[in-house]
Amino acid sequence: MLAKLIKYDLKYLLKSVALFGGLLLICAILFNITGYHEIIEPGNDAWLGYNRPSMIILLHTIFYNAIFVVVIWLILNSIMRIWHRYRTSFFLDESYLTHTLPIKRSTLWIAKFLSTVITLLSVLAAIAFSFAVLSLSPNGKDLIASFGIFPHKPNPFYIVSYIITFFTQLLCATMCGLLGITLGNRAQNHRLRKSIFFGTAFYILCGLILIWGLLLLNFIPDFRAMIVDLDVNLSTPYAFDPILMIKLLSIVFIIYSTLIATLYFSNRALLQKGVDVD
Amino acid sequence: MKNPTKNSIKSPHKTAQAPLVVCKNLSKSFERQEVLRNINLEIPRGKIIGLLGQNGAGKSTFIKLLNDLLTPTSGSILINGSPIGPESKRIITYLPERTYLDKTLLIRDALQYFSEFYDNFNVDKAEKLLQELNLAEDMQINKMSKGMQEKLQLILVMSRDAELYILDEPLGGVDPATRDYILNTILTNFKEGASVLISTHLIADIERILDEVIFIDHGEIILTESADSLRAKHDASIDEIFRQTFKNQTHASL
Repeated sequence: MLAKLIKYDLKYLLKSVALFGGLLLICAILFNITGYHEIIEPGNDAWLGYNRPSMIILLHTIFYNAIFVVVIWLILNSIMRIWHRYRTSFFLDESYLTHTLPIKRSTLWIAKFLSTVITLLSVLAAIAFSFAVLSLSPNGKDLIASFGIFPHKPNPFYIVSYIITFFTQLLCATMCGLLGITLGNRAQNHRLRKSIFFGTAFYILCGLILIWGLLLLNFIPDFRAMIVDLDVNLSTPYAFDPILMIKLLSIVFIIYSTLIATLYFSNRALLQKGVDVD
Repeated sequence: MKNPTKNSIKSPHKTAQAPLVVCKNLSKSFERQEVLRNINLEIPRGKIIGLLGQNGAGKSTFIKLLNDLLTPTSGSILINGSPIGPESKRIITYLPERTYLDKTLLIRDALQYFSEFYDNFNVDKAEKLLQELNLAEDMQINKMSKGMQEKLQLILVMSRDAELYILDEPLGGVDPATRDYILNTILTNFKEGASVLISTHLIADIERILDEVIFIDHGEIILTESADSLRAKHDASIDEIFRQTFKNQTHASL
């Protein structure tokens, strides 16, 4: 039953990931194709112009900006669809079918959580694949660097740590929204407004907990020394040590994972108490 | 009219079997408003029961509680001797007032969905009923009129071999021809030995099919009785008794 529930959720959720992931890939390919470089006269380094006509350079600039827009939209749209799907299938018209299926409510919730995880992983996979395509060209490498993701010398462990931490950050934000929807729908009126309010409040609270967590860790001498080292490293690009960054990302990952677990079990407990469908 | 603390429908052919549904001291409040008050009710097996009441009497709230769409404020519901859960949902099939299907699905997908989640869903019966309506399985649900979507939903619900069919206002807002289709589909497709609970305020249309009636008013059960004995007792149709009862109730409350 769990697999069937996930299948129907993913049928809905992955449509937009496929659409915008495909669009991102097309933009990445066209960005690489329209790539250009400056022509410098050998010997005296005089600038002679570009190796491409101005129309191609214009297109290149358009694809450059389109990649930023599509990446952001892919992430935002996927999260919004997860929230929309959860709201309609648990609390609006479709909930009349969902809650009358011969399935435990805890199973319904596990399915929702797993389909959320799979959707967000698919989003990251789509972005990573397009970035891998971009990394095939020098212009693409510059674009990836402009996201501020892999400064200076790319290190595979650092890249993986970054992606995992970014994933937990996205998952935490999505879970805040899901808990907000559950809580908002326990109210008798203004359910949508209350869902947005609670979701935003949980997100801000999670952000504050992360900051407080890092501030508290700052009282540990080793951690403080690490942050000082990291600061020095980031300001001297050629001496960048990815290991320090990985350590910091691991701490952020642990805090986010704890928050995700708290949000997961809180939502589960609320659903177990029962629902009041409108 | 009697106002018993415990309402058990007296069946003329009462069997030794335990009731299908037992509600004890069931209440439901929304904020400070009590919508259902201390409901004590037993629903027998193998009967067509009309849950009759005016708009806002608490019919849909009671039905939603049976289907786990609302959580009782107090009291309990036992279905087939067990609290509401996956097992009770397996034996109950429910037609709500609204359309609940994912509109992006094709009819074929909806059939597959029901057959995947309900082991008692009869695909052959559903396909036959769809053919009778000339509904193609590759039609998308959001391309269908609201009336056709409701008929599709009725077909899906009635194609399950359930123990209890719960139909919430199945005749609301439909034309007389569609009413006949709906009633005919209900009567010819429910599983033998199962119970059917129909909530409505359009009594004239359904009273001919009812074995038992439950009158509900302001969140309380005010009458439960066999349809035949009620008609004999008052020498009137259920519709007339209903009108008289609620006219009196309204006057009393004024």
